[in-house]
Amino acid sequence: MAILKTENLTRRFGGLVAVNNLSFEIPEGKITGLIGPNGSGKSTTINLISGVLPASSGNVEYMGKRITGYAPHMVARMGISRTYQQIRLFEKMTVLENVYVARNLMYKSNLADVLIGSKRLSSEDKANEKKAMELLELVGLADKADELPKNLPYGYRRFLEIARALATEPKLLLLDEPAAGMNRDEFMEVMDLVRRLRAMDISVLLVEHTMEFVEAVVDHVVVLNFGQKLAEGTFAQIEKDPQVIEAYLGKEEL
Amino acid sequence: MNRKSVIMLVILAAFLAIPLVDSNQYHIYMLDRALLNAMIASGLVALTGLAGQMSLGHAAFYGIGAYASAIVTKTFGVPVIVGVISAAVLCLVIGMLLSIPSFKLSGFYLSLVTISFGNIVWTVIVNWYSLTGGSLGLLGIQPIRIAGRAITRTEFFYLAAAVLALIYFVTTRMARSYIGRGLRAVRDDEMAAETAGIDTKRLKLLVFSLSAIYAGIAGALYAHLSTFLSPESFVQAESANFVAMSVVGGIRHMLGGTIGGLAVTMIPEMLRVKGWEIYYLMGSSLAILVLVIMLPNGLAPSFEKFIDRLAGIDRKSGKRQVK
Amino acid sequence: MLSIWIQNAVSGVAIGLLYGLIGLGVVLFFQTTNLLNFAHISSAMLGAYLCYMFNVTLHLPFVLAMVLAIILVACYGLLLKRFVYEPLAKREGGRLEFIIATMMLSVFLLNAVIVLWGGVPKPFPNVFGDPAKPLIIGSVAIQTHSLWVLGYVTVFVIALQSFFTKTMTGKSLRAVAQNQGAARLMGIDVEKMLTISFMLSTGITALAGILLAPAYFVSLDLGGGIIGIKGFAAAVVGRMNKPYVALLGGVLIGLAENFVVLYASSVYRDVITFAFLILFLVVRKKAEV
Ligand SMILES: Nc1ncnc2c1ncn2[C@@H]1O[C@H](COP(=O)(O)OP(=O)(O)O)[C@@H](O)[C@H]1O
Ligand SMILES: [Mg+2]
Repeated sequence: MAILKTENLTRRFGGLVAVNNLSFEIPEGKITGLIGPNGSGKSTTINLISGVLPASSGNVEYMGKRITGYAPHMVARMGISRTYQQIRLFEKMTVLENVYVARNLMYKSNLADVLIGSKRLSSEDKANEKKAMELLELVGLADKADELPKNLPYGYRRFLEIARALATEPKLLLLDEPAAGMNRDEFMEVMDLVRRLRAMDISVLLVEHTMEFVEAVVDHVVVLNFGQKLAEGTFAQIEKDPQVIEAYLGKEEL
Repeated sequence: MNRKSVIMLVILAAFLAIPLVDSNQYHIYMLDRALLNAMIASGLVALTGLAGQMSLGHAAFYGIGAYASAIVTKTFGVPVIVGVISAAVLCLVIGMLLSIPSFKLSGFYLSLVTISFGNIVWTVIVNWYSLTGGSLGLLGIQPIRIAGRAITRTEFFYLAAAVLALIYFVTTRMARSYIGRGLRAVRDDEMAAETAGIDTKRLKLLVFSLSAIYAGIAGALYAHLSTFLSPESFVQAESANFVAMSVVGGIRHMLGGTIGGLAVTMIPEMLRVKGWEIYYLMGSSLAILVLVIMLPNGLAPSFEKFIDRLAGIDRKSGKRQVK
Repeated sequence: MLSIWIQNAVSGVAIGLLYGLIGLGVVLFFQTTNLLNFAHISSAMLGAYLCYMFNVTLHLPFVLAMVLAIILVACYGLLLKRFVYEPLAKREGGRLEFIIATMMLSVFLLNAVIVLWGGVPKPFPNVFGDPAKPLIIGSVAIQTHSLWVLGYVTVFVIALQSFFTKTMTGKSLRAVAQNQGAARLMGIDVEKMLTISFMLSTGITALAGILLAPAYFVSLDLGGGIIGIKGFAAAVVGRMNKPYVALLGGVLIGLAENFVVLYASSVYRDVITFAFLILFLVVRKKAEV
């Protein structure tokens, strides 16, 4: 069963076609790798699925429902969460608040509850703060809860962003190069974390450059080149595909 | 109750006692105006400090509130409270409309849109002669009455202080709740906030309307305080002044609007020395300029630091700050 | 009818070029600093008053008075950088603080002018010809002021263009405008370029102020908000990064308000700029500034 399906998804920037007639599926409960040379449209694909960019044409279908054109917060509410290639955090909020605020969509309390300080609000606050704390524990940041993100080492900033993405309780998580810029230890940790996500019943679309990472965690790989799907299959199949090898080699020669 | 709250209460009590010891009617009138300004500046603290949105057109809401309440009470002979409520409702609606450009624009472009909005409203006030009296002004607005007589300026002071307290309460409750967290997320990174499931448009709508309502209520109260309105009070420079209040007070501090509103209203008055009248506007703008340059975080954080010192709280080990 | 159209078009273009000149100054400033100076328009007022002082009070020849005024205002740009921009940058004041500081600065300058020269508008000497004796071509009457403006702006644009393309300083300035980090790596003295852009933008605005004075008088209006907003609107048309498009944007605004006055009440002259600004900003594609 596919949790998400794109159909002829296309995005143009002026004359450039960043994503070109892309149709692929993300199977439920699996880790799908999305790989391709630099500039092949991986991040743009994530932007299109998460609603950050509107598609020029084509469709995104999530759990059998068309979500093309949905606002990003609606996409998040439906159960799709993401991280960014360039980490984006709330820099003037504490580490805990960064995750806590992503629980906002869980609240049933309204403005009136806020103004009178209702029981419902305080119990929701308690539950959500606890959940945020648990997520910080999951990524190993619990002892940094009251710090500002700028005081975290680079790798931890990425973990914080993942914790925030998990706070909306996604069924599908889109990770855009989660290991980029990490040292060896952090790299192993993030790999471990991605594996644990599968056990948590979260489907993952993983954009990643390091083949070691992809090989170790993915169930299934989609290869992009110039915005088009070049190949698809298990990592072992992809690895031997002459077209894929050429796409990567061709890039390196440039 | 801890020492800090005691000190705060003492300062508050001292402030509230001013009209009882100083019977100069002009001073009390200026204090009344300062409290009204503090309401508007508090709205701007929420709008800009919390949510990162900018408005250089809030004099428009001040004016809309003032004229709405004046015209409604004059035309229909209804009590002032009805006028104030209609002013608030009208400002709510127009505030919602003004939030629409913020869905798309931010920073300087948004500030230019709000300036334009303020100027358009002002032009309408000046030229809609039959409704507003144009540049001649609107006369004979009913004052607020209790027990059949018009209230004194001192009584108005306590009324305005109560309204400001209510505004402070509402703003603080909101700022400390999940809504406040959402607003700060919008301020820090709008796109990340959206993809974290936060409806950023709805929050902007909320905070624009809220700050518009505050300004509208202040305007309505002003109309019934002065019983006379002239477009002069709602020019572009006033909008800038309101923002100056929120910045001088402290844009990221819950007390910023109150402290800034009081300080910026009172500074020119203190410089109004006999024989030096032509210098006082020059002097007060220079004073505000210097304050903004020397203290970009505003007076409120310094004020709080001072109180903490009095209360013997060590800032580093002290309890968590509410931002 | 046609002749009225032509007359309006000519004077609209002339006034518009001056709004555009102000907008061009805004763009040059924005490109290097990423800031909007809300006291920008004060430079126009200062330029006009100083020129008036040199020319009328001190009896200096007009061109000399104009040059002196522009130089003095450019020096004021230096002070602006030293005493407003730098301390704010050092204390990590953001855009909002810069906006408020410059707004207060413009109030301060308005009041300083009132103290120095009084608040009553002064007629500018007829150095651009007598407005009562326009140039008559057929049935069309054209103000000689408009022609002078056209001439001055043309000369100015040619000079500015050769400054940007021929001199080392001009090229460095453009490099800083395009990418400050890269310019720094190339060994360009970014700090010095910032200083130059402060002086350039205040000086250009002073020129615009002097040329506007025959239309607005030597008055506080030149330092008030509305002409300043027209300059910003022109800069917005230039997307804050195309100086010459900003110049054309000014022309657009000048023409629009002249024709509105022709067909509707003149009270709506200024509303046009604001409505134009809102529409232009809201309708166009999303842009982060
Ligand atoms: N916002 C944008 N505006 C213009 N071009 C863009 C934008 N985002 C991406 N592109 C272009 O689209 C292509 C695909 O980019 P991207 O999706 O980031 O590739 P990848 O993530 O695979 O490296 C690139 O050529 C890039 O320059
Ligand atoms: Mg990418």
